Amino acid sequence: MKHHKQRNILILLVVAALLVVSAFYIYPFGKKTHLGLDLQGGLEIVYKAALPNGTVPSRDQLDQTIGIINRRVNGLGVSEAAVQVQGADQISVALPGIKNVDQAVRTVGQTAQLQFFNDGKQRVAGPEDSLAAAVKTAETAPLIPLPKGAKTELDKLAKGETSTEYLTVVAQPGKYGNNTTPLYFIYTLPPAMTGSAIAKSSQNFDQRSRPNVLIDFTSKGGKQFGQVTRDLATTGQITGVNQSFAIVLDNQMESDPIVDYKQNPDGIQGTSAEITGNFTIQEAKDLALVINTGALPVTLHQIESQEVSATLGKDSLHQALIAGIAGLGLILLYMIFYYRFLGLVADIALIIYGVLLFGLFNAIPVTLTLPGIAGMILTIGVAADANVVIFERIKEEVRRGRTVRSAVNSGYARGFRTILDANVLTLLTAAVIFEFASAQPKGFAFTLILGVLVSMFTAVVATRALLGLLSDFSFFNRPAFMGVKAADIHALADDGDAGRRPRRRPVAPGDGRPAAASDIAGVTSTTSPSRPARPAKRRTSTARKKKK
Amino acid sequence: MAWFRKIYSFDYMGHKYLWFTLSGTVIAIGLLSMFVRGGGNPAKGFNYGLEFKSGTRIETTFVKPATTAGVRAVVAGQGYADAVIQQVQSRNGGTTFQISTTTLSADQQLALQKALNERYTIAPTTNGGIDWNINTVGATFSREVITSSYKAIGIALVLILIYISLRFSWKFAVGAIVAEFHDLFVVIGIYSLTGRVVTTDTIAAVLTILGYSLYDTVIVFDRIRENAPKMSRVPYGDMVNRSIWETLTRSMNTTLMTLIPVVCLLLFGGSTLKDFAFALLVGVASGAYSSIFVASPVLTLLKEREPKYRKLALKAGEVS
Repeated sequence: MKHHKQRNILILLVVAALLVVSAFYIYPFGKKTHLGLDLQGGLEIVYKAALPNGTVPSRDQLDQTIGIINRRVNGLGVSEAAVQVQGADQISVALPGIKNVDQAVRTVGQTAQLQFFNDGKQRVAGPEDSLAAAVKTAETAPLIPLPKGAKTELDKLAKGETSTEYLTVVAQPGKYGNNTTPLYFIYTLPPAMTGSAIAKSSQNFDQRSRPNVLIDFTSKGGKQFGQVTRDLATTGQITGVNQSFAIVLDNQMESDPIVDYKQNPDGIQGTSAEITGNFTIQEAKDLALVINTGALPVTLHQIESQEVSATLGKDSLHQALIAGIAGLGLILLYMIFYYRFLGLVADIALIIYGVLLFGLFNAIPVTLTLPGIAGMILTIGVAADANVVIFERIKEEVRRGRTVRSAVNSGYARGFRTILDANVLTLLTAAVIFEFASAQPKGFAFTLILGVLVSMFTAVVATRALLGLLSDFSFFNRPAFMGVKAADIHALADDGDAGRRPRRRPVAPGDGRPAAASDIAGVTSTTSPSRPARPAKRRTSTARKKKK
Repeated sequence: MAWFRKIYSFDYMGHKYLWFTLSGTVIAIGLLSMFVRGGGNPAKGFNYGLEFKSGTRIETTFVKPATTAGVRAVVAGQGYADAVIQQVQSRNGGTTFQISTTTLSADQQLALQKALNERYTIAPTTNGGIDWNINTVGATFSREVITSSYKAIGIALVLILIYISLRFSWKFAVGAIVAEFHDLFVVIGIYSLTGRVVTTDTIAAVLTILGYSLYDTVIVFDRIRENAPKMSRVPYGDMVNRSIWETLTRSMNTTLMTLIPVVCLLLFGGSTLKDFAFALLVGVASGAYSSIFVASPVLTLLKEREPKYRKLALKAGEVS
């Protein structure tokens, strides 16, 4: 018994420590909880990703895409954005609390085409103030000789087509001084390089701490870039003028950097390059973002989108809280009403459960969604169920004439098996939902799993420790405390034996265990000493677990 | 309360064919509804939510007074004459509407938003946005939701079958699985019959029911497993009856403990939570019923075919 007492105290200390830790994660209330966008408002988009040839991308390619989208999303200034793979080929982008939805949709969803053009060899016309002027220059005085048949292609461009078989129009938004009209260029296709040459791009600083843009190439891309820049450097050495190349995203010129032929007489070789200029940090970041964007290995096709306003989210959260509090309150009342003192212990365990689960949610952190809250509220019932199973077992043992203390022990021992089987089945299905269902049910399944596990701890381990300690006090050993009437102890003890094997009534009262009988000093007044006790022989047979 | 006492001594197993008929009738009605509503294809006999169809659903609140007909006129003016307009619970001090259309592109959404804003002024939110909620689903997405749901249900049932076979025996597992199918068909039958909207949350709720409705079944089975060796000279059905009587209070209490939060969700939750709670409510109730009236009778039926129990039953005159 001494050993049990120490163990029980230890368990309760652990519970107390966990409560303190949980409180730390919960306080200040509401500040540390991650709300899903259905609760705080925001935008969620689900994309289906495919390779240009229509096949399913590899996991690596999806991860790479997620990395790029993450960088794009970070540029939007959303603090709790979540970009995740969903199923085999879907990517879900959640942007909670976002205000400018249109910009977000455009930034995230654009399937940009990044191209590099060698200005000296590929620019047909430009810069011109209008598309018409650019086409006219290309027709009358092209900067490079055009192949035959270019006329029909130029006509198409003049009518508004952005790209033809050999030619493409590139616009540059006016951003020099007061010049707000865009400038127009015409380049020949194919581009010198495309976005597939790039592994990664980032904003950095040069030796003089000015913002610049770093580009890391793939090994193949590095060779291509080396070739292009060697060309530019050679031309530069011949003409004595630094040559430039154009970085174009979706027919929009993003940058037009030069290659300094004095610094780089052989072009820029290796797997990385830097673009310097009069960038602000933001401009450098934007350019890096654009270059990354173009390196997207898959095409994205939007298949679902959901926009929730902050008001709807707040309403939903409010309603869910009311439902949760009402549910918990009613269960607490019912447990006390039905199980009296045991119910009180269960209620304490339920409240501990609530605090631990909520703390755990904030600590992990789990993003709380509506289905998640539904799962949480449902697990309050599951946690109470565990106590119902155990307490009914305890009551049953008491009615059979056991002392309260030994009834508590065997109630837990036997009840636990039932709870374990029932909860394993709940866990199994929750795991299946988590693995196979789409995003929203996933949140529900995850809460259900956490809830069932935590409830096994609070409803079984913690209440047992608490009851174990309390059973040392003599006031505890009164069956009425748990809602068992003294009269029932006789009645059901007889009833419980009906239909069983012919029984032998032993003379000795009590439990068949002398130790148990001595435990109960002041209790026997409620249980008559002459009541029929269960024979020791039957006891051994009840302990057999396996059915035949 | 005399009748109430009777549930603790009622011969449940003696009436198994009555229960089978009852459950069979309820399920048959549900299946009939699925066939009739689906025009011969039971899979189509449901009112599927947006996730299962493709389309756009907008929920928005207007500051200026608006009527369903007025909103329909504005939406039709944008070229969506067959859009479904519904007034829903108001919030934000205005009138709130739900507009369901075919899939709209971002530009189309924006145009519609502008048109509605000009006419009725969309209510602002506290964070500086507007009360404009929109959900768009493409056809690919809905197909995947359906296939993943079927897969999940199939895998869950197989795992349950294996677990119960290991912990009890295959006869228990068969009883439990038949009860599972019973619960599953009762829930989907009621969804088809009432025409309630089926969403992905409904599917999650149905899957949860698969796991949770076994709670009561496990409680009874556990007691049967425990009583069987002690009562080996009693017909199997009588032993099952006794096990049910002994566990009835806890089955009712665990069901009540689960129904309390579910009913609270149904009463106080928003529309998403209500959907969820309705499926759970039907499923939990059906699960409690099926543990006594489906799972246990099926188990008894299987066991009574064993020579040993057949002899005992014959002796007691319970089977012929």
